[in-house]
Amino acid sequence: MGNLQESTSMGNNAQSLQKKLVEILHSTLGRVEVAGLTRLSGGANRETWSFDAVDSDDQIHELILQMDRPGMERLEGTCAREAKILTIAQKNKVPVPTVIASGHSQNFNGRSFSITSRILGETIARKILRDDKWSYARQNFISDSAKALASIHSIEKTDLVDVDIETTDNSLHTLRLVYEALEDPHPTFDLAFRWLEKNHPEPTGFSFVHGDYRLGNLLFGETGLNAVLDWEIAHFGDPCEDLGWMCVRAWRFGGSGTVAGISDYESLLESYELESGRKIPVRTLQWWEIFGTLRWGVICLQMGGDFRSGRTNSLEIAAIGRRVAENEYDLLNSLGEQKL
Amino acid sequence: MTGIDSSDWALPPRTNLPYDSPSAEDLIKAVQAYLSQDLLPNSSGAEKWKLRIAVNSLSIAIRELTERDQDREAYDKLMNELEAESEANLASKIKAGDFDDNFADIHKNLSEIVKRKLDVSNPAYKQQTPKEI
Repeated sequence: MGNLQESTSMGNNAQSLQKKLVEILHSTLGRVEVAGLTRLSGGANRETWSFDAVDSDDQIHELILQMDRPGMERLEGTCAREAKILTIAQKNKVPVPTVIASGHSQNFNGRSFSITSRILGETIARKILRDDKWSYARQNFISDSAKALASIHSIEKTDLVDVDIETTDNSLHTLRLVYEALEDPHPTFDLAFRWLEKNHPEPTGFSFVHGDYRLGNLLFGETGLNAVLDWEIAHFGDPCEDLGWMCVRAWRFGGSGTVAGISDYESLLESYELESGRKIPVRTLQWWEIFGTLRWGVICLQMGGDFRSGRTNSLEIAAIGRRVAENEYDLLNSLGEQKL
Repeated sequence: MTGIDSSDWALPPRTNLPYDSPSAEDLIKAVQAYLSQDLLPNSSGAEKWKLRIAVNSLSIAIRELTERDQDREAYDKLMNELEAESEANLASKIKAGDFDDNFADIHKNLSEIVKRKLDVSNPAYKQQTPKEI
């Protein structure tokens, strides 16, 4: 989404960007020199750059710049909004990058941006799942995630008064509204909605929810989890949504474990109970996994639809449209043993 | 005759009348070979990733062109068995609870439709699952 405008992005002009960074950082780091400015392959909604800022004491600050892409009006302000969330998450002991500066700057044509510390590590799921280098991080994945999630789920509404955060009292109903608004019926999705409605478990609580906690959005060092990234869709809701989401088959990335391709339900639930005090039945976790599969399926439908209706010409997004069937298959697989 | 041996000049029959060859499928295959054999080995990073998606997308297109007539036929039959006039019609029946007591049938037919879709979009996906639906 927004890739239509990518080639006209002002960010392609690294030299002018360098000057602008010097201006912006003046208020926080004093006079700096900007070096090593490199464009990273970011997500579809954002432009991401890596750079070093050398201050007047010759101290090197390793930093990341993120900017919303132009033409992303429906998501305006997400970088600055996320920076506020990061700051609060850090206070609540969630491992996240430190925010150096953020806001809407004239320097970036009014686009929202954030500058954060650059934490070294790996986010690519297939490497983390397979390479020997990450075997120690894999061993620690469950306890690291249980700690991080328990911290995320302990963030209070009162901590976030300055940030516009949605509250989702009924995630299933919210998802149904999105699905029905697309007017592109997929009977398998309706069957899954029906099953989920008839088998809705008791809420496991009400808390701040990351919303996209999974491999790919987690930065690993060799000893374990270094940072939780991508807080764009954080909201208030049922904390088990985060646990179920990382069990969705798409987020196992071909790994054999039911949790993130790495571990199993029981280990996650045991570790999470230890950190959060919340005891969650396996059946409840599995309900949220099936909900997550349906949610990813609806997102695939929506992204493929963005291509179909001409909102984007991105090949990656077009290809995601064809992943709808994978989610339908997984849903039917999960429901195969069930009765309505 | 001039003495040139023309005995192996005869062309295979055209498969896409009234058009000339190469057919749509063969054109896609030619583009795919260019991407995967000429461009992919010399690419890296984000470009390599995107080229892989491009090659894979063309594979989907070829499978769709090959399978779509028989898949459409099977789809119509499976939908008829469920007495569904359209996906919208079937979706609203499911929502209304019409299949609550007939879960096995709807599960079976939807599974058959979805498996055929998946055989076109990502045939390896089913083999990666521990159990079959």
